[in-house]
Amino acid sequence: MKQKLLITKNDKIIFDGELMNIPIKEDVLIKRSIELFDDEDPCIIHQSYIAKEFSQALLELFGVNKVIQGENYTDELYFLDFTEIDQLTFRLEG
Amino acid sequence: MEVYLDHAATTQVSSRVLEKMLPYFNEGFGNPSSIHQIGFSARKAYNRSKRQIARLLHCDKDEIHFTSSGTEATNWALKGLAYAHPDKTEIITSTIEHHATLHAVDFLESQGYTVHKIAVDEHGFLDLDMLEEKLSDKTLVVSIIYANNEIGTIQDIHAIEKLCHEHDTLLHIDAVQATCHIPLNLHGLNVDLASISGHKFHAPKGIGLLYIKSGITIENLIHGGQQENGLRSGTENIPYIVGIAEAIEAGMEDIVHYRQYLDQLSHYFLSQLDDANIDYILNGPPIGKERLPGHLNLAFKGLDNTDITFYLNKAHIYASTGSACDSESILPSHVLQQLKLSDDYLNGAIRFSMGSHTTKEQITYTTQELIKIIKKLSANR
Repeated sequence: MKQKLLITKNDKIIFDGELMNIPIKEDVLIKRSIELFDDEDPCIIHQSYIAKEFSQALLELFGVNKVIQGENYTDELYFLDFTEIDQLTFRLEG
Repeated sequence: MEVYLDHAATTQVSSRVLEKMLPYFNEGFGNPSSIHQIGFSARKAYNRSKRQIARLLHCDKDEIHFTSSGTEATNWALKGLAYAHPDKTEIITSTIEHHATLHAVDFLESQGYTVHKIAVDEHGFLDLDMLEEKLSDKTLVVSIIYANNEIGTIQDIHAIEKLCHEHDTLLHIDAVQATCHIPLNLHGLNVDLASISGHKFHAPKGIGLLYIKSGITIENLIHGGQQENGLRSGTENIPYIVGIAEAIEAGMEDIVHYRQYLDQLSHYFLSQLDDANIDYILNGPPIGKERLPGHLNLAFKGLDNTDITFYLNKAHIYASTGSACDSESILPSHVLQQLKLSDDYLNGAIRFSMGSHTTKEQITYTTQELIKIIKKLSANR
C-alpha cells in the first residue's frame, strides 16, 4: 500500500502521500476498532490494520482508472476526514 | 481454505488433551491439599502428571514446578535466583531473547545488577567467545533461549552449558519454543533451570512450568501455601496440569516424524517461492537440525510486512510479523534487528510457523496467494 495518492480540491493539493496514510475520521476508526477488537482505544498495530482496510476500500474504487471524482463516491468515501468529498479529485500515481 | 501458520504464537488445545482435562473441571474438582477422598483424587492426578512429565523430559518429579505461563517461569528463574544469591551481581543473556527474559533482566538492571547481552551472528547463533569473556565469579546466571521463537535458531546448549559450568555459573534455558518441537532431555542437557509453556504445544494457555535442577537454591516470588515444594504458592490448577502432561506426552511421541514432515513442507514452501523468482531471505539457519521444524521467517525485499499479512489475512492465511508497537509507531522485531538485515528486508519479514496438522495442500494455497500478494505489492512500490 505504498502507492502515492494525490487529492486535490479545485486544483489545490490537499493530500499528497502514501495511500496508507489517508486521513480517516477518528469516530469511524474507533467504530471499526470496536467492531473488530471491542477496543475503543486501539494500539498502533490495530489502528494500522484498520487504516489498511479503508485504504484498500479506496484503492478498489479506482479499478483500472488512475483518477476518480469524489462526486461519484460520496457514500463510499464516508470514512475520509475531509469535508466536501464531492469536490475532491483522487489521483493514483505511479 | 483457512490456513493457520502461526503455531509459534499459540496452538489450539488438542482433542486428546481436552478429553483428559475435562473431568477435572467438575467431578475431579478437588483441592490436592484436602485430606479427604476428593482431594486424594486430585493429588493423585497431580502426582501422576508430574511423573509423566519427568519421564518425558528426563528429569526427576520434584524438579518440576508448575506456573501460570512460560513468562512467569522465566521471571521466577531470574528474579528468584537474584533474591537467593545476592552475592552474585551480573547476569548474562543474549540480544535475541523473548521479552520475558529481556524485560526481566532490564528490571534487575534497574535494581543494580550488571547485565551483559551477548551478540549473535547472522543466523542467530550466540557468540560463544563473547560469552566466555563475560563469564566471571560474579555471574549469577546465564539465560539463553534454546530455540528462538522468531527465527527458529536452535542454540548449541551443550557448548553453552560446558562454558557455564567451567565457570561455576548457573544456566537457565527458555525452552518455551523448543518443547515438543525438538527432543528435550533436561538431565542430558545438564541445564540448571528451564522454562516451558503449555500453549505452544496444544495444552491450554495459563499453564507452564519451571524445571529447577535438584540442589539449586531459588527464592519464591509468590508466597502463601506450601504448593510446588514450598516454592510457588497457589492452589494447583489440576485440569491444566493434567493437560500439559498429556500434551507433552502427545508431542514427544511423534517428534521424529514431526521434524521430518515439517522439514519436507518447509522445503516445498521455499521451492514454490523459488520457482516464482520471489526475492526473499530466509532469516535464521537453513532448514535442518539447527532450525525449528516448520518454522520459516522470510523477509521480502522492499515490502512492508503489515501489508503482506493484511492481504494474507483477507485470503484466510494467518501468519505473523513479529513486530512490536510502542505508543506511536510499529517497530521491527528486536530479533531481526540483531541479525543486521539490510533496511530493504528488515520491514518485510513474515513468520510462517506450521504444525503437525498443516497439509501440503494448505502450503500450496498459501504460496500461491503469497506470490500474488508479493507481485502486486512489488509492482506498486
